[in-house]
Amino acid sequence: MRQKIGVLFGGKSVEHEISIISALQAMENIDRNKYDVLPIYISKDNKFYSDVSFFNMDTFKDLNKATNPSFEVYLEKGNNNVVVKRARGNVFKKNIIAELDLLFLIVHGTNVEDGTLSGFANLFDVPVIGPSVLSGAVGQDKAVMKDILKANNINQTKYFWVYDDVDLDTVDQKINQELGGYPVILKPASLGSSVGINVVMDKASLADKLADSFAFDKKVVVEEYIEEFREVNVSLRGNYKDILVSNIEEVRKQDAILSYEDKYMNNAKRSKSSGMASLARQIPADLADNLVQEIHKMAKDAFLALNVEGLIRLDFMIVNDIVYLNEVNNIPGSLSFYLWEDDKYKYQDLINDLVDNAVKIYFDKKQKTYTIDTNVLMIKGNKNGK
Amino acid sequence: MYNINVNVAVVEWQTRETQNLMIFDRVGSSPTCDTIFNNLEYKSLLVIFFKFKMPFHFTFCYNKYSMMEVILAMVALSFILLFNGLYFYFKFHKALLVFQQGAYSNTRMINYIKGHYKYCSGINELCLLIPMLLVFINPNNSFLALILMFFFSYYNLRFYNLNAKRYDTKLKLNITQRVKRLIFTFVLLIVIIFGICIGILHYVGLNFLQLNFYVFLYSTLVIVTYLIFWLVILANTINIPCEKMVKNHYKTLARKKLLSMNNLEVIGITGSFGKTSTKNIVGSILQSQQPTLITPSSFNTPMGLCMTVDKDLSPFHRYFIAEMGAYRKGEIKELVDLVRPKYGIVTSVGHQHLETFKTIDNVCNTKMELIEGLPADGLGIINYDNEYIKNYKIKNNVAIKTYSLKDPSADIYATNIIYNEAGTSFDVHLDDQIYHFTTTLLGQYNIENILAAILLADHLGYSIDVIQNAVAKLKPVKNRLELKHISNDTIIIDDAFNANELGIKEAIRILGTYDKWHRILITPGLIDLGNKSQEIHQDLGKYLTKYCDTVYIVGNENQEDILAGIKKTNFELDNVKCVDNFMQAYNQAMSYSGKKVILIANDLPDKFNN
Repeated sequence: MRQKIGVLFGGKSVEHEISIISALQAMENIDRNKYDVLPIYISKDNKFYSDVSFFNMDTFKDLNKATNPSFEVYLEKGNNNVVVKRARGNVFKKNIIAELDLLFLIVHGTNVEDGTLSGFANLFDVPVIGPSVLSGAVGQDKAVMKDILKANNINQTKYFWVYDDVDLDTVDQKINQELGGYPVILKPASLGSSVGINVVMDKASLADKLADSFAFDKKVVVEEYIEEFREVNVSLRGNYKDILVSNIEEVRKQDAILSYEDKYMNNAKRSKSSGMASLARQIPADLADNLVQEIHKMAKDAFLALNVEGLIRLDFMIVNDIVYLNEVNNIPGSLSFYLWEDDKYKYQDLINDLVDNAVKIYFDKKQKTYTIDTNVLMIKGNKNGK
Repeated sequence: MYNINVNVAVVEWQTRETQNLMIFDRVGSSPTCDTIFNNLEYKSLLVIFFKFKMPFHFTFCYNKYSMMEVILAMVALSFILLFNGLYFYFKFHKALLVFQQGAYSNTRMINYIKGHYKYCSGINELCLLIPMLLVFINPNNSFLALILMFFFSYYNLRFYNLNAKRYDTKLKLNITQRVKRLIFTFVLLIVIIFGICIGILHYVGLNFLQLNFYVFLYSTLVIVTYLIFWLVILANTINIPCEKMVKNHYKTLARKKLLSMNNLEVIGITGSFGKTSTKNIVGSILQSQQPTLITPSSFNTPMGLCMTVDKDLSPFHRYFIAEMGAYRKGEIKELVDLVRPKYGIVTSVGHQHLETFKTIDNVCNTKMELIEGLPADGLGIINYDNEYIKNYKIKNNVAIKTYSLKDPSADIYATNIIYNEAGTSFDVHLDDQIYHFTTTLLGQYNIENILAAILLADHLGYSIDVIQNAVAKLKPVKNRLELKHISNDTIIIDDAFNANELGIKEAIRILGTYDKWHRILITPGLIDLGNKSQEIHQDLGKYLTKYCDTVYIVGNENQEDILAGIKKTNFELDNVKCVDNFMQAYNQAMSYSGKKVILIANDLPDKFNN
C-alpha cells in the first residue's frame, strides 16, 4: 500500500504565492511509486481546498479558481490518519476524499510557518514534515531567535530589538551605544523574506524607515548594517541525534540587500516552479576549509539551540573571515533541495529522507509518552487502583 | 376473585359511608365488585390512579382504614419496589461484570455460579414468594404480606451489599458494544417473559383489576431476579450468531489492512506465561530501532488484535508484535490465521487454564500452533528449558532457534547470572561468542525472555551493541516483579499480575534473597488450576516457608491448602495470617516497623475473591 501524503501550502501570509511555488515543485518531486499525494491549499482566509487541478500552476494564476467552494475540504482525525472530507458533499459525490498518513507543510511566513500550522498538524497525531511548533515559533520571531542564539553563544552581528511604542530618541541612543552608530538595518521581527526591511543611513531617515518597518510588525530588530559581506547558505536536516549538513552555497549579491523581487518574482516569472532554486548562486561555495568547518559547527549548534526537527536553512554572512549567523528559515523556499542535490541524490531522495525522518521523530515521541511511569502509590487507599 | 375497590372506598368513605360499609363487608368475597365499582360515580383522576397503582388490599377483617394507613402502605410498597429494583440492577451489573471477566464464556459463567451459589442465585431471594403465597391463599393477609415483603427485600439488598463490600470489585464493567448487545437481548428476554406471563394470566381470566394478577406478576419478577445469571447466559447464547458476524466483520477488516502493509513484519508471541514480558522486551528492543506496534496490555484475543490493527497500526510501522492468548485448542491457530506472523516465540507451556484445556498436551499443541503456522522463510523461537516444548515434534519445516538458561545445546544460553541491588547481569552465549548483558529487571524468567528477544533481534540483523544497549534500558512491566522503593525501609515487589506456579515460586525465591530484611508475602494463591489446585497449593505452602518471614493468605479459596502445606514444615504458625481481602493484608504489612520487603503475588482477579 502506498502511503498518502497531504501537502499543505498557501495560508494567510505575505509569502502565500511563494509557498504555492515551493509546494508544487515539491509535489512534482515526490516519489509516486511510494506515495500518493493530495494537495491541500490553504486560502488567504484560512479555508482549506483540495482538487486534482492543484498540481497545475495555472490553477493558481487566478486564485478565485482555486477557491471554488466545491473544492473546500476539512480535516478530521482518524485512526492513525487524517481524514479529508468535502465540506460541501452531496449524495453523488463521495464525501471522504482521502485518508492521509502524513502531512507535509510547505508554507512560508507568519500565521503558518511560525508553528501555527505545525500545531494544527500535530493535533492529528500523524508524522509531519515541517518544523516543530517550538522551532517554528522561535524561528519566525527574529527578536526571540536572536536572543536564543545569543544565549547559545552563536556569533551574530550586533543587534537590539524594540516594540513599536518606543520613542525615536531611545532608538537613536541605542544605535549609537550598542551598534556603534549608523548605518543600521531594520527588520520586522516576524517576517521572513525581505519584506519591510530597510537600511537607515542616518538619524534623519530613521523615523520614516522605522515607521515603514513597524507597518509589518509590532517588533523591529535593529542590526548593524554591513555593506560588504559574502552571503552563504547551508541547509541541515535530521534530528538532535543525527544532523546532516548540505553543501554550502554562495549567493551572488545583486542589490544592497536581496529584495523580495530578486528573491522570488524575477525567477518565478521566468520559469515554472523555479523559485529560490534559480537565484544567482554558486554551489558549493568557494570557501577555505576552516570557514567550512566553522559554518558546519555553528549550523549544528544553531540546529540544536533552535530545537529543529526536520529541515532548516541557515543564512550566514562572512565579513573578513568572521562568520555571522544571519537568518533562519524553518521551511526554506524550494525546501533548499538545490543544496542537497548532486548526481546521485535528487530532490526525490531528499523528500524520501524527510519522510523517514518525520516518521522517526513521530515514533520517538510516541515512545516517550508510552513509557511514562504511573504513580507507584496508587495501590494505597484506592480500591480500584491497579 | 377479589377486587381492589378498597382504594376507592378510602377516598370516598366519608361521603358514602353506607356504601363503603357494604363494600367492606364484601371484601374478599364479592362477586359484584365490578357492579359496585361501576355504580360509584367517582371517575376522578385520583380514583383512576388508585385503581391502577394499588394492587393490594390494605384491609384486614372489618376494620376501617385511616388515610394514614393507606399512605403507610403506599410508602412501604414504594420502598419494596425500590429495593427490588436496586437489587435487580446490582445483580444484573454483577452478572455482566463476571461475564466480561470470564471472556463471555458460558462455561466459565456456569462454573462461577456453581462456585458462588449463595451469591448468584441464593434461595433467600425466593423468600419473597412467601408473602405472595399468603395473599394468594387469603387476601386478608395482605398487611402481613406487605410487612414480610418489606423485610425480605430489604434483607436481600443488605445481604447483597454486604457481599459486594466483602468481595471488593477491582475491575469495572466496561460497557463495550458487545455488552450493549447483551443488555439489549437481556431486556428483550425480560419483556418476552413478562409478556408471556401477562398472556397466561389473561388466558386464565385474571385481569389488572384483580389482586392476584399483581401477585403473579410480582412473583414473576422475583423469579426473574433469581435467575438473572442464567438469563444472562441465555441472552449470550442467543447472541452467539450475531457475535460471530460482528467478529468476522472485524476480522476481515483487520486482515485487509494487514495485507495492504507490505513493509510490515508480524511477530507472534505466545506461552502459558511470560508472553507479556517477552512482548515488552522484544518491543522495547525493536522500538529503539524501527517503528513498532505492540498489542496493548492484554489484547491477546482475536478481537483484541483486530482492534489494535484497526486503531493503532499505521502504515509506517515496520514491526507488529502480537501477543496471543488461548483458552482452548485452535485459538492460537485462529490468531495466526488472522495476523499471519513471520516470526513466532513460544515462551512456555504450563498448567495455566487447565480448566478449559483439560490436559497439558492440549496446552502444548495449542501453543505450538503458532510455530506450525509460520511461513517457510520465517523463524520459530522456542524455550528449550520447557520440557513440554523440548519434547514436542514440530510438524512443519520452519527454521527453529532455541533458547535456554542452562542448556549449552540451545542456540542461545546464559551463564553467570548475578542478581544485585541494581538488577541482573549475565553472559549470553550466541554463535560461539560471549556477550555481557545487564538489566534492571528481576527474575530468571525475565532473563529467559531477554534471551528470546536477543535471538529475534539478532536474526532481524541488529548488532549486538544495539541490543545490549536496549536491554540495559528495559523497564519492568507494571505489576510484574516490579520493584518499588516506597521508603527507606520499605520495598514492594509488585508481582500482582503473576498467575502461575513457576512464576510465583520464582517471585518468592527472589523475596528470599533479601535475607537482611523482614520478608512479607501477600498472596491469595492461584486460579484456574483445575483438579491440580490442591496439590499445587500445598506444595506452594511448603515452598514459601523457606523464603518468607510473614505470610498473609488472602481469601479462603486456597487458604486451607496453603495452610496444610505450611503445617508440614516447622514454620511458626503465628507468622501466617489469614485475611479477607488484599487491603487488609496490605495495611497490616505496611504497619510493620523496621526494614521490610513486601511481595504482592497475584492479588488481581476479582472473580477469584468472589
